[in-house]
Amino acid sequence: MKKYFRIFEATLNDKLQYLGELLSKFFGFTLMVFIFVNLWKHIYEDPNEIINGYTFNMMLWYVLIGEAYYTVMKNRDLTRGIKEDIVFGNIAYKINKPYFYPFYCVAQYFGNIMLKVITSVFVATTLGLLLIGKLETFSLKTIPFAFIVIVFAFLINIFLRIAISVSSFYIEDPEPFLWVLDKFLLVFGTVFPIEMYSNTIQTIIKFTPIYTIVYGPTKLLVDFDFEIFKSVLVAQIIQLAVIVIICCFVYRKGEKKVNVNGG
Amino acid sequence: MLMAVKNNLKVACLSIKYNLMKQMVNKTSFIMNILFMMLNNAFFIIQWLVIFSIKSDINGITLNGVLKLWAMSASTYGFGMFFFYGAFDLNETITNGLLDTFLVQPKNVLLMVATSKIRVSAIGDMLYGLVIMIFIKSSLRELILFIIFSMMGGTIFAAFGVITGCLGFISPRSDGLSNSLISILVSVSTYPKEIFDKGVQFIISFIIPVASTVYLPCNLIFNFDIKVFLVLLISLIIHVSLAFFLFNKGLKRYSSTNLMTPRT
Repeated sequence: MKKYFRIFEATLNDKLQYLGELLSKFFGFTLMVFIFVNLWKHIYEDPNEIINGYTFNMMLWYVLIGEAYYTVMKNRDLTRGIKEDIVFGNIAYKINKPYFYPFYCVAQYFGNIMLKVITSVFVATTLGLLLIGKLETFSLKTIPFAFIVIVFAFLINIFLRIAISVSSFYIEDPEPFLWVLDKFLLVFGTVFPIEMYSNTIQTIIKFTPIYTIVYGPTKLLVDFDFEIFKSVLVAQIIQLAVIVIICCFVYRKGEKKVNVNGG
Repeated sequence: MLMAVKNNLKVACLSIKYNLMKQMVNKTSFIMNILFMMLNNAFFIIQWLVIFSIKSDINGITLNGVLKLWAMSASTYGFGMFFFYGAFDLNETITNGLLDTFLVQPKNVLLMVATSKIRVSAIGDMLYGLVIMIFIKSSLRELILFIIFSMMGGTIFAAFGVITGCLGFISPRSDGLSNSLISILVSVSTYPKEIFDKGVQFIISFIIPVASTVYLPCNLIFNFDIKVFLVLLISLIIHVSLAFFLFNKGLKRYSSTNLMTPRT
C-alpha cells in the first residue's frame, strides 16, 4: 500500500508545479456553467416553478456540481497514457516493476485529481454563490455521507476507465469507447438529474455507472435523502467489485499478449 | 507568386493524403473512430429532446433550429480538425521544439505545420453534419451551401486555432489557455445565440469567432443575403491574415536546440 501512496505523492507534487495551468483548465467549466445558467433561465419562466421535483435554485446547483464533478473526474491524460503505454510498448517496462499496473494507475489518478478537486470546490462554490445564490436545500450534516459516495464514485470511475483503456491490448484504440462513456455520464447524469427522464429510463439508469458515478454524489449534495444514500452506496459497492474484477481480468489476459524483444 | 501558392497547396494536399493512408492501415480503428464520433454527437440530441419536452420553444428556438446549428457546428469543427489538425496542436509543437522539422523545408511553414496531422474522428463530425442536413430535409441548394460554408467556417476555426496556438511563442506553458479558448468556441457554438444576452453576443461575435464559424454560415444557408456573405468573407480574410501575421511574428522569437525528427 505504501508504494501506491508514494506514487500518489509523486504525481501530486508534479501537479503542484503547474497551478496556473490547472486554473486555466477551469475556463471551460466556468463557461459551461454560464451557458446552463442562461439556458435554465429561459426554461424556468417562474423561479418558484418546480420541474420534476427541482426548483430553479436546485436545478442550477445540480448542474453546477455535476459539471464540476465531471470536469474533475474524467482524466484524459491518464487514459491516453495507458493507451500509449500499451501501443508503444512501454508497458513491457512497467510490468517489471514491483507494482500491479492497474493499481499504479489508480494511485496516479488520485494524485492527478487531488488538486483539481480542491480547486473545483473553490471555483464551483464561488461561481454558484455569484451566479445562483445560496443552495436552499444544503445542509453541512450531509457532507460526511456525500464524501463516502464521492470516494466510491471516483474509484468506480477510474477502474471503469482503466478497464476500457487496457482493452488497447486487443483493439489498439479504445478512445471511441471513452467518448461514449463520457457522453453517457454527461447527458444522462450531469446536465440533467435522472428525474428528467421517463420512469423506464430511470430504472435502467439505476443499474448503470451513471447512477453511482454522477447522479448519486451530485443528488446527495443538492438534496440529501438517507434512502437514496443507502441505495447509491449499495449499488456502488456491487459495481466497484464487478468493475475491479473485469478490469483485472482484462489486464491479466492482455498482459500475456505482451512480447518483449529486448533493446 | 501563384506558382508558389499552387506548390504549397499541392504539398499540403499530399501531406493530408499520406496521413489519411497511414490512418487507414488499421481499418477497424479507422471505422470505429468515425462511427463512434457520429454516435458521440448524436447524444446531444437527447439533451435537447429533454429540454424541448419541458418547454417547446426557447426564445424562438425550436428543435429544428438546434439541429441546423448542430449540423453546422459539427461540420465546421470536423473540417478544421481534419484538414488543419496541426493548427490546434501548434502550441505544443512550438513548446516541444518540433517546429525545427518544418523550418528546413522550402515551403510555407504554417501551412505545412497545420496540414501535418489529421484527426480521423473529424470525418465522423463532417458526416454527422451532412446526415443531420439530410434528416431535416434540406434541398440540394442548401446542401451545396452547407458544404461551402462548412469549409469557410472550418478555415476560420483553424485560423483561430493558430492565433491561440501562437501563445506558445510567448509562454511555454500556455497550452492550457490555448485549449480552453478553442473549447470555448466549440462549446458555445452548439448553443443558440438567443439564450445569451447582448454582452455575451458581442464577445462571441468579435472576440471569439463563434458567429463567423457557425451562426452566420447557418443563417446564410437558409436565408442567403449577399451582405452577410460579404461579412463572412471579410471575417475569413481577417482571421487567416491575422493567423499568418502572428505566426510569422512569433517565429522570429522562436529558438530551440535543433531538435530533428523524421516525418513518417
